[in-house]
Amino acid sequence: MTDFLSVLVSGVLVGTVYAYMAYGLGLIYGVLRVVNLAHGAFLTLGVYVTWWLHFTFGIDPLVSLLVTAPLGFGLGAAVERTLVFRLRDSPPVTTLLLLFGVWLIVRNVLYLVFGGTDRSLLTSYSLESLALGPVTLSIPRIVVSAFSLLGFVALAFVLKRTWAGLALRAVAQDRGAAALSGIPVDRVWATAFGIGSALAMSAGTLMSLFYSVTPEFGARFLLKSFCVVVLGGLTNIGGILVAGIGLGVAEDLTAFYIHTGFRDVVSFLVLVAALVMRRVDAEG
Amino acid sequence: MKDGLQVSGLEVRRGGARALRGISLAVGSREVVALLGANGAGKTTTLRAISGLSPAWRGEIHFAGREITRIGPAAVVGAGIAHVPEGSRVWPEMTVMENLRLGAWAVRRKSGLTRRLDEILTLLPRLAERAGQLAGTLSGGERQMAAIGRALMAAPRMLLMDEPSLGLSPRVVDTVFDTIRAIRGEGVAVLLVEQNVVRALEIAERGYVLEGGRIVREGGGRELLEDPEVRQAYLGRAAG
Ligand SMILES: Nc1ncnc2c1ncn2[C@@H]1O[C@H](COP(=O)(O)OP(=O)(O)OP(=O)(O)O)[C@@H](O)[C@H]1O
Ligand SMILES: [Mg+2]
Repeated sequence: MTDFLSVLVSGVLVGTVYAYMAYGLGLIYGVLRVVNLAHGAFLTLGVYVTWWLHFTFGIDPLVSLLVTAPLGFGLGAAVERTLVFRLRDSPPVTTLLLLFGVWLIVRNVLYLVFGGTDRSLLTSYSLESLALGPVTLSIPRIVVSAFSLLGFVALAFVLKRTWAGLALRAVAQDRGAAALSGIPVDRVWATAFGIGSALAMSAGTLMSLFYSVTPEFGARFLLKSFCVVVLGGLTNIGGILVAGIGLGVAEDLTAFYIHTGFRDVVSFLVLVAALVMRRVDAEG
Repeated sequence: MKDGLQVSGLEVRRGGARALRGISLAVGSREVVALLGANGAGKTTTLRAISGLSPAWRGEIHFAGREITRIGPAAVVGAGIAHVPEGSRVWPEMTVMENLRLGAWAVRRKSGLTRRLDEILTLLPRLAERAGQLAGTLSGGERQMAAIGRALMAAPRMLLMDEPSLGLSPRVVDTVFDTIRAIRGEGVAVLLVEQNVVRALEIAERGYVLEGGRIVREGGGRELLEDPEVRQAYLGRAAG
């Protein structure tokens, strides 16, 4: 029972990070109707920038959020301006392939610069844990989960209360009506891509605290991001939070009670099941 | 007419075809002008071109003495022209209040937003009751009111309205036309596209008839209403 509780709570903590990691994908899809395959590139870049800052200057990962979030925004907005925007009138698959290309380039550059060896980032608190009654929790998981939740609250506030956030939602819901109201749709697109990428890169930063640093990081977590976004309802902020937590819990339970090797299979199965159910819904 | 809208020689292509083949029209400040025509005549295209959503191929559009032909949709709203689109097009997953607020995007840095919101809620009391409701769950009439309110939030001097009575029950249509009268009373000019020809010409000072992307007739509201050809084409009977 104690094990179960520990695993459950730990799964919830990781799940909030999953939700945070995935939200950018949903946001970009909602506003631009583009599936951002470069999401994996931004996740990986976040991990590497954080690792490098820690390795070279000893900067704490949480401090490097101040670097990776703005950097992600800038890079994302630049990718939108230079690549995605130019293809706005071509078939969706063109954009898909192009963004996939961006990811491949980033991945290969990382291989070239850092090599293929797994690295890890160890801080003074990496191995600390906290005993709360019968439950033992890892400190990095608590910290990272708290930051993710904070990020979610900030995002919800921006989307609900600021002019920029309202404009973003307007473009997502009816782009033509947004243009008629004088909202500069192309600027909103760049902003949305920037925010989505900032979320991905800062998620990479947070996750570098307990995942190994490798150029394949993005591949592993892009699939999970898809899973969360599809399950949570693409742009629904609450749904994505619930879906992320659900996946985190399911993975941790699987790893603990079945086999650690099955952890990464869960997201795949859930994704397939969710897509099949959508299909059935749509037909029935 | 320096204050109003002047369109001259406007040509617009949509999907390669010439949707507008050189039209000229004018709307004075404080005037209600009807734009009539069969399906596919180019009414929506005319409004979209004025708003800068469908680029003008040839011709010029002036508003309040200033050329607005190629300044883009955001600047057109800023210049004082707001558009109530065909089918209302409110943002379905935002509340009525959020829809209204966002209508003021082009003038968001100016003062008086709260006061205007109050005025609009007084003009359209139904919206006040529904303020917190998601716009996608409004009835057709309420949705049309929300779209009108949203456009008014930009503090326009002219409103372009695309078939505001489409699909509404007769009683709700009355409310819509009462609202248009009230808007004119506030000194806002209206360019009104309508299928409801009689109602439109009763309220309008003047009207234009579009056919195949050309203006084939223009005149005073009464005059057009009594015109045998207009009656034949749109009312299916000759003038009695
Ligand atoms: N996106 C588009 N691509 C190609 N052709 C278009 C497009 N939009 C409109 N058209 C064409 O332009 C012409 C004018 O269309 P418009 O929508 O302005 O007509 P309308 O007078 O508003 O008609 P309705 O009464 O049906 O709303 C039509 O022949 C239409 O088929
Ligand atoms: Mg039309």
